[in-house]
Amino acid sequence: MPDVQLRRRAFTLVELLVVIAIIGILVALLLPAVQSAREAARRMQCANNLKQMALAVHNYQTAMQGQMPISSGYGAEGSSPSAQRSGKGWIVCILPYLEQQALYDIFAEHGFKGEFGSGGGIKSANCRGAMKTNLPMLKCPSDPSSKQTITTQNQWEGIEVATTNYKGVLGDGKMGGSASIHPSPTPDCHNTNGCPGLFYRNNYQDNITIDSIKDGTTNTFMIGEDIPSQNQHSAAFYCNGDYASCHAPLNFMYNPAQPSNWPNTISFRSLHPGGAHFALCDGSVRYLSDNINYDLYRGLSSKSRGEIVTLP
Amino acid sequence: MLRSRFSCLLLALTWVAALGCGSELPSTVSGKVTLDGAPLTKGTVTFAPQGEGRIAYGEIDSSGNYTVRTLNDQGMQVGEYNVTIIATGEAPASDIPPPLLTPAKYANAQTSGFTASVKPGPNTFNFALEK
Repeated sequence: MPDVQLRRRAFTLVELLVVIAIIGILVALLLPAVQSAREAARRMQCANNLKQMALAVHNYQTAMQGQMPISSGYGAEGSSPSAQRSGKGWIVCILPYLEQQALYDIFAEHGFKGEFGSGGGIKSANCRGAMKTNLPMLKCPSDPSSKQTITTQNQWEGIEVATTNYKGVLGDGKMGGSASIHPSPTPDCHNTNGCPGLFYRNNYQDNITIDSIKDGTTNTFMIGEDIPSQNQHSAAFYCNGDYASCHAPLNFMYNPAQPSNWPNTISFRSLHPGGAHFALCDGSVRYLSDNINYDLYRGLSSKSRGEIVTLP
Repeated sequence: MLRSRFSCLLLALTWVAALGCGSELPSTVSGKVTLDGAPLTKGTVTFAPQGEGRIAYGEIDSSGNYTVRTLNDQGMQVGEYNVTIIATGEAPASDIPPPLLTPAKYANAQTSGFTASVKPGPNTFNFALEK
């Protein structure tokens, strides 16, 4: 005799499967949206980091009568090498304007004197702690590789140093003499002086001021993005790790990375989709597509070559 | 009737979805590089556009073959290109340029003498270098 009381309302298996399938489809639709929202937030933070650095550069040059931040070189290079090449990079100059006066003071006390090549300057033992200070404002949040210190940077083999995702723009000079695979017609200047851009390791020899930017501050790159795991020249406070060249197309990468292949990898790139940020000399930050015309990209990297450029 | 209309809709949807995935690189380029008749076992072939366009690179593998990419995408754009080829050895120190293994003239678009007219679809360009 059928008992009416026993017939309970319940899901059948088919109903359950349908519900699971629908939830699955919804999650599959939502997940990429969530991921891209997270990437958009990281990108915004990255742009903000660059903005802070560009503003710090402007605060520095205002305080220094127009003088742009100076890299001190690390060897007897260029047309008029100074007596003491401490290896100090331009990012050290702007530390006080990034709320890092204490770090700057350590460098100023121990790192500004002596010759880098003979263990003086910022290579002195008293600067080791400062050199491995990881400043979050120098790291792009989309690049997990830059968060750890590293012991394989050029001229710092075996010594722990912090890296930076943000590099000054040297211009579009070739790197490594004729050994570069990139087609830029601008000769190699990184180990001499007189580069088309603002920041390179011997820029102390060229007296670069805000007035040197004759192409217009809106048409000239100041700082760009790089990925330290792609480029073995990324030590944050070192004059040979804080610049890159626009000789390679934007976002040029090796896969797998060849960080020691320096003639081809000292250039700009990011892990953001389809482009990278640049801070311009007027303090604005722009996101440039890696589709950007190569001649325009190189034109934007020079401070006074007189190209007619308009940002896309 | 209903079913065919439904399948039409499905087809249209798939097509629209596939549009978004379409690669904008219409050409693939590969080939072989030799130096004095023997395969060049390392190095890079650079395709630089003669006018507007994007630069493409092909890394040479141990048997002398290369396949070009534009940034991280396989293939390249259609057009006229100047071609340069460079292979380098081990650098003696961390900041000294590595020595060129290929003659210097092939590193410069003006002197390399190589050009390529890239057509849609698969292309093959072989380059014979001489010391």
